[in-house]
Amino acid sequence: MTFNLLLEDAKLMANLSSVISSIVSESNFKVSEDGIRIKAFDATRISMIDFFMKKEAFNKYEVDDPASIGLSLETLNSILKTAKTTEHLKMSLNDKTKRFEVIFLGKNQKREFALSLIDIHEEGTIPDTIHIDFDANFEIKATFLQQVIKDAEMISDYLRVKANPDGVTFSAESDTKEMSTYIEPISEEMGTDAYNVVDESESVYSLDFLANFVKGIRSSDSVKLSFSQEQPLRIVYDIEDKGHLIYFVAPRIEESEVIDDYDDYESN
Amino acid sequence: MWWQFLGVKNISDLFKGTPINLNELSQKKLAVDAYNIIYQFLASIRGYDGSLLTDKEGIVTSHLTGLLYRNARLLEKGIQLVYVFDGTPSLMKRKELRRRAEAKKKAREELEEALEKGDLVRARIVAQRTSKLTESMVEDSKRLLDLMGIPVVEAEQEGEAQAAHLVKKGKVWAVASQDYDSILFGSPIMVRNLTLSGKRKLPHSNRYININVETYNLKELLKTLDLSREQLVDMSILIGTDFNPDGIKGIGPKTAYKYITKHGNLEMVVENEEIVIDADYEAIRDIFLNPVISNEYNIKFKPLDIEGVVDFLCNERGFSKDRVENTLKKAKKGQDTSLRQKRLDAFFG
Repeated sequence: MTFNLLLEDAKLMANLSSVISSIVSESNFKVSEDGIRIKAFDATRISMIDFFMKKEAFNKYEVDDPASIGLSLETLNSILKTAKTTEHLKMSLNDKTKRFEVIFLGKNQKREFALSLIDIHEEGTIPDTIHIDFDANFEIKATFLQQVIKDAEMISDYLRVKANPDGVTFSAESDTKEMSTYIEPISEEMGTDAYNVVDESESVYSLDFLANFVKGIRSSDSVKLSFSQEQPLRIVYDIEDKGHLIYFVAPRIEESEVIDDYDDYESN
Repeated sequence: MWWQFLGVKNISDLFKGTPINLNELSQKKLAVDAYNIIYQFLASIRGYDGSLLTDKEGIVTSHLTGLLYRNARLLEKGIQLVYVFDGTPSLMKRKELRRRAEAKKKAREELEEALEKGDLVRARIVAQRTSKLTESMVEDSKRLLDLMGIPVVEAEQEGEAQAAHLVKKGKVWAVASQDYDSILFGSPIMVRNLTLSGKRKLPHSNRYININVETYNLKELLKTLDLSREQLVDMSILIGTDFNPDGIKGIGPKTAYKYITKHGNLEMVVENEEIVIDADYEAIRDIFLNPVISNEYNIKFKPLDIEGVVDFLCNERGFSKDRVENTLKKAKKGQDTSLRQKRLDAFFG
């Protein structure tokens, strides 16, 4: 065995996998001495997911050889979806068959799946560390953000986020409808992290991408949002003390800029 | 493969493309050879008896149908296209153009004969070879492209050469073409079957096959064949190109490859293999390696003008309004994303 992992809460992995696979359909799955990681752009490279679960989160974590294997996350998700609350999850790489094995251990029963590996061709590489300075940082309840997105989806395909020291406004508009939600820096819907907003920042993000990520987050949890004027949005979801799920989405920019500064845009 | 390559013949035996999902082309810019595509539409979008689609006044609309629906589908996927139109053909290409004109004349005669006999199956097959592109079809095509916000580039001579130039300059990511000439013109990346992908009916039969979009990488290709681009061009001249359509009698891709790898270049092949090249191969080589390029182009991607397209196609050319509007709405959303949505990698690095 290259690696052999056991997780008591199979359902937890199923939930995480449903979020990840809604964004990236296939990716490399990395198993190192510290933990497991999936870090990948979606097919359009508009967004990126960074999932990490540290080895302490597992009940058994045996890695003979750090490995990076290509998996269809969609197929893996359809398997993990069958997880029951009482089941434990075992994931391993069978050296002989070169297949990724997923085993659900019940009290008196065992369900086994095996998945062949696939070749992932990565166009360009993702930097190990991403340095972006954010002007606006705040923590917010997942239920609140889920409601904002649901409201905005009725109005438009895009969400406008505006933050200043006085609070955050989420809004959406189309030719015939508009909505907006305002929240104060200190409120029940804000998380425990300090509200840290310098200056005013305003950006627009695609709701398709945000919704995919946010709808899968457990409603009782909080997420940390960071962004700057016309810069990417980062959503950090801490999986208790077990690891994290981080999502980056690139902004939409105002129409005139693309057309007038076409050559600048090109050189990016 | 079943379709006829206009350029280099049967070179496909020597190399294969890499299949790519259309979604992976999302947010990419591609240059296409306009005439190549419009001819495809004129050949394939026809009535049951092989006649072209027209409006009430008899103005041909087959190419507009093709341009509308294909471009809309690609825009919807977030793919941005630049259409490159041929300029004045070089003297070298005249022979090939004459050959094509004669083939069309013959096909038209056969078509009349088939229609007289009432043989519709035959008529439909022959009709595909009669496609003739008129001035007004080109004008209509450019007008539709402009309304769809798709930029047009006018080549000095060869559209394929100009398109390859746009890739080299980084203005677009790849050339999309059916014709391997783009590779000979030095385009680093070529995409095949962009406008054909999906389920396609085989000609002369009722069978269907699935056609995949494929990419070709010039560098990798040359590495696989262990040839330089100059040698690839020399090899193509032996097989036959648009500029010497007959090639050398009795030399197919395999022999040509063998000769070039053995002797290094055309001059040495001629010296050692007792073959005669009638064509001015130095001039042909020059067309591929140093093509005449226009620097007078301005690529601007504009938002699709739904009302304008509806006005042109529905009010002037008799298209169905509901269908056109629905198609355009979907295309507009995809196009809007590619015009305004930034990609994340622009911020990393």
